[in-house]
Amino acid sequence: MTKENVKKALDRMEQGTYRNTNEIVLGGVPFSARDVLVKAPIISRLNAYYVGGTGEGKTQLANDLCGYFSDSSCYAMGRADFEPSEIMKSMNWDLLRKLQAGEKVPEGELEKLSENVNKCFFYVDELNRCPPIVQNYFFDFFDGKLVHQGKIRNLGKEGYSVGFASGNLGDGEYVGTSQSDRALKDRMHLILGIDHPLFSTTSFDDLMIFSGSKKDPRASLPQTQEGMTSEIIQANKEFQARPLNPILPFLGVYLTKGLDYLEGPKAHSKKAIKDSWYHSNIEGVREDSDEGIIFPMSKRAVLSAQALASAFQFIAEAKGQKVANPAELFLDGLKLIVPYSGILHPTYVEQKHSGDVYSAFDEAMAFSREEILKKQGKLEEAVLLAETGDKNPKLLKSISGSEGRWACVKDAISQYADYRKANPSEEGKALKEIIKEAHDMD
Amino acid sequence: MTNPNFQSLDMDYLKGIAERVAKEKKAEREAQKNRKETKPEPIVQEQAEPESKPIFINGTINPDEYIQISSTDEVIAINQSHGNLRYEEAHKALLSEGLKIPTPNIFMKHFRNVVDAYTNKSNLITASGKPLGKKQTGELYEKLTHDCWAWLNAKFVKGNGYLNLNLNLETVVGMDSKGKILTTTLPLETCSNQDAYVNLDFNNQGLAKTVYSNQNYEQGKNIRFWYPRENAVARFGADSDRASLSCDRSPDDRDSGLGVFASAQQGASVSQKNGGKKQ
Repeated sequence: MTKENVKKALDRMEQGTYRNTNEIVLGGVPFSARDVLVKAPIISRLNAYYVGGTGEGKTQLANDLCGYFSDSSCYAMGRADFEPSEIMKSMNWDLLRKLQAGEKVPEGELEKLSENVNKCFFYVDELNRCPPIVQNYFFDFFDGKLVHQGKIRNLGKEGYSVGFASGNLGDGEYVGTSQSDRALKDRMHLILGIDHPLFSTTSFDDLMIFSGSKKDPRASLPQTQEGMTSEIIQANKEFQARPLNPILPFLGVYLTKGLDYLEGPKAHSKKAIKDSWYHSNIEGVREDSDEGIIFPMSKRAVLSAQALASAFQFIAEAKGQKVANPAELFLDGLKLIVPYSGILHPTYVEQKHSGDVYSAFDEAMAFSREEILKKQGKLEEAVLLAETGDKNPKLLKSISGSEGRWACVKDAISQYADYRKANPSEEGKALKEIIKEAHDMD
Repeated sequence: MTNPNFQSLDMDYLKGIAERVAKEKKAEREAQKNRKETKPEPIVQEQAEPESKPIFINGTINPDEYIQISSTDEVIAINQSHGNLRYEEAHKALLSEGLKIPTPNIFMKHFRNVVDAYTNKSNLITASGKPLGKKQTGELYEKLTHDCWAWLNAKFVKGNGYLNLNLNLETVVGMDSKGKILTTTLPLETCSNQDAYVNLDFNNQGLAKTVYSNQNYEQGKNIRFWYPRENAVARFGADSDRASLSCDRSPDDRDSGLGVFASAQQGASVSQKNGGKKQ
């Protein structure tokens, strides 16, 4: 049950200058735009990258977010010569003065960490104004750590820090922008095209924005509201303490190993032939299979998807809404992770979907989605049995044969059953009692 | 193996599933019980025994475990055997027992016969001349459409057959005294050049000719086809998702679940070792 103070924190995050009343339905549950764009990533401590055209509200969102974290926020502007250590390190002036006065000082300590390392919220506006080489410096930064004098230090406090960024992704219409590579996108966890109809403002929002008292097109600065960093940290702690839906890790196996499966090549793996996979479809997109259009997700992306689905469930429950099918919520949540992640074949996105990554994602995932939902009942039953240390060969066979993209899921369930047989859990024993009379263990 | 992460899984969710499963099974059992009480079991009448005769196979395979393939002089095992062997190893193992791996032509004829028998269009006749019972026919149909994985006798090599693919079809025809397998090569006939669900309509080499109207698996109505690739071999497989004829597989694959539906020719000399028995 979500605590009262967590509910209050979530309610406070509805406030701000950025206006967007679009309702986004995920897993059959209606969420507000702020639930999706702000609360879910903040609560689950997932980095978010807002992308889209200029003047669509990215900077306004950033200002609202900085307001939530108040003194614990750190804002930076992407530039060609910017790198994160610029805001994390500063000159130790006392030592410098001593050095200038001729005193002997340890030279390595002339540079010290700045107060910013203890901040919890980092925002890099116009991230892709940094050239790719500079964007590489952000890997650690968005991983929530910093290397200083050979030692790794966590950013933030009480284990909480999160990084947000914005960028104008486009095909040449923005001068001075660069592409971001897949490693950085993967670390951004969520990439949200906020001007896409899926997430963008409603017509009435636009009317309210245009007809309001504001006559200045510039984004409003953070409101002088009291920050809520400690409430956010508390909400994150409560979120972290919640158990994970047991089906999601098995869907994760499908999205990493199952989506990697290829019928033809000897190793049956897209990763094994990744260079030719990315160079395939040059002459056109094959339409008879999804094998050439979607690459497996990374483990980091699956972990992000699990956290995101859990965050949505957390938010829904705080509002008194019930999530009927967590697997469906998980699959819908992938829409915030996969489309810009680089795992959709670029030729497919361009040729078949005119560059609309969300449309490409829907079609590319349609087959897997249908399969997952079709197999869900069997999958749940097999995972339940595995938790009790048992496995039913007939049931496993109904999930997958000896080969194919589902074989990895079947193997994972089977091995988990073996693990649980050797290491029984108290909960597993209780579950066994419930199904003992009911299940035919043939 | 220890993983403390497992401790953080939501057991209440699994408890909900356990209760749902228990309820479903209970309802299923009760429904079954009610059916038994209210309805006498229908008497399943075997179809009139067709005119059939045993065929002569010079050897000691169990003729009740082999099915005749109409319009050919071959019989094929009901059960899969000879698992965990690579393509060439499987050929050698079978040939040494007087058996062989069926070509796609033979196997797909058999597949169609099984589908026809299941839909009451015909009967399957064992090598001993007995019609296969309804229950066994149903089991064989389920096996071939949902649960098998077997090598077929076909390798696709560079050649001058069907121009789109520019391949020849190499089949194994025997083994010499030194254990070297002997092959014959023919130009590949025109077949589908798409990886797609296909009609149960095959050319003389047993390869799919036409793409099925609907690109979803429909048990007994279509199969997934993977068109021939150079230096690949053919396999037939069926699992929970679909049945497929794959002409793009590596001959070096090996798996305990990957075997053969052994075939034998009328009049062939066959030894007893493993023929038609499930391993």
